[in-house]
Amino acid sequence: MRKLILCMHVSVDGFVAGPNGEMDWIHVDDEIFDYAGYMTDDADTALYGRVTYQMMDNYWPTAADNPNASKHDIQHSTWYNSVEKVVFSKTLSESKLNNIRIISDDINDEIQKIKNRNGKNILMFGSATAAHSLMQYNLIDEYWLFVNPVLLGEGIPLFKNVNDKIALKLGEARAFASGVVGLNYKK
Amino acid sequence: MRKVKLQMQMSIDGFVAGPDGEMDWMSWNWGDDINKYVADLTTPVDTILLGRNMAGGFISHWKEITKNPDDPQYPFARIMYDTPKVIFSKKLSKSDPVLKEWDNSILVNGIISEEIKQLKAQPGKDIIVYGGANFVSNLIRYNLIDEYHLFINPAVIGSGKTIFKEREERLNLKLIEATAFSCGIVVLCYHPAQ
Repeated sequence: MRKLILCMHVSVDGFVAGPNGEMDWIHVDDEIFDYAGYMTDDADTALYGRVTYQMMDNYWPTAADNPNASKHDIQHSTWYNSVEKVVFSKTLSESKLNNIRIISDDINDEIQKIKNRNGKNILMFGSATAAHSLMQYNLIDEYWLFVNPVLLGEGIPLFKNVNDKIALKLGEARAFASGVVGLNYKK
Repeated sequence: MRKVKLQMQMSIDGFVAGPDGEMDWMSWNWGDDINKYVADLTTPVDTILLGRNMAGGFISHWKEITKNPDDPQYPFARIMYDTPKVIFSKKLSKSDPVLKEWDNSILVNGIISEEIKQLKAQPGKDIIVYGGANFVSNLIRYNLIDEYHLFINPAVIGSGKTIFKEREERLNLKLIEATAFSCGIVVLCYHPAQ
């Protein structure tokens, strides 16, 4: 069965955004983008919440066309355009959209079905609310957490709706030059 | 100047204990690698700083083990028991009878930032903090920790006690080191960013 992998930037105190959605503390650079490149190579499906999807879809489809596009822009744009996109939404409709599957209900069943299909991994970037829905059913198989060196004090937590304790296995820990630490955990 | 170091066990979701103080999610199959890390952390220490809630249990726990020299934990227990302790409490007076039960300890009950400043101004080696959660929350709130050693255990526990909720403003940190150990714990070491 293919794996559902959540990729998330978090603060040391476990928030994915400030109380008003602030993300100005998140550090990304080429070293981290290169690292994320390994993950996209192994994935053929992207999973987003509605808000993150709309943000992504405003940028990535044409990001490679920009004359100032970086190596990472080109890579990720190519990946974005080629993968199936699964979006959690009660308002978007499938018919108008290209290579999109909308999930509005029965998250557990729908995700299980997608996981049971043949293919490469399902990768989820950001999308805190969607992640909380998945946690309720313990559907996330692997986490890639990019821990930024900051205490926010308050904000939107990464983990929510965790009913039972989840014991995970440490895959690897990697410190990047920026002070961000990548932590990989598996079910 | 001597440093205030925090050694704290945490879950991936940032809790230091379950809602009722549960510690069953922690990894205790420690190998030589993490034992050495803790020994290196403890060796340059000559003072243990504790909050009032943790003091009684901490002191009696290690005292009990020092009664049995054959216990594998005996050498470490000896250090924990013998090292002078400073107990912080705003509620207790220096004549409170409970203090007699706290061997090798003195009480400080003033304004937390002033007490820590005075402690650091005294000559000596490093000061280490082990808890409890409320006391550490206040140290973090006033940015009184010089070196964080967060022991991230490979578990998500959903709810519990945290040490970060008192912080009212962002605190930028500087990563010193991230070390993965064979038992699955990762220790993240930070200093406050200047």
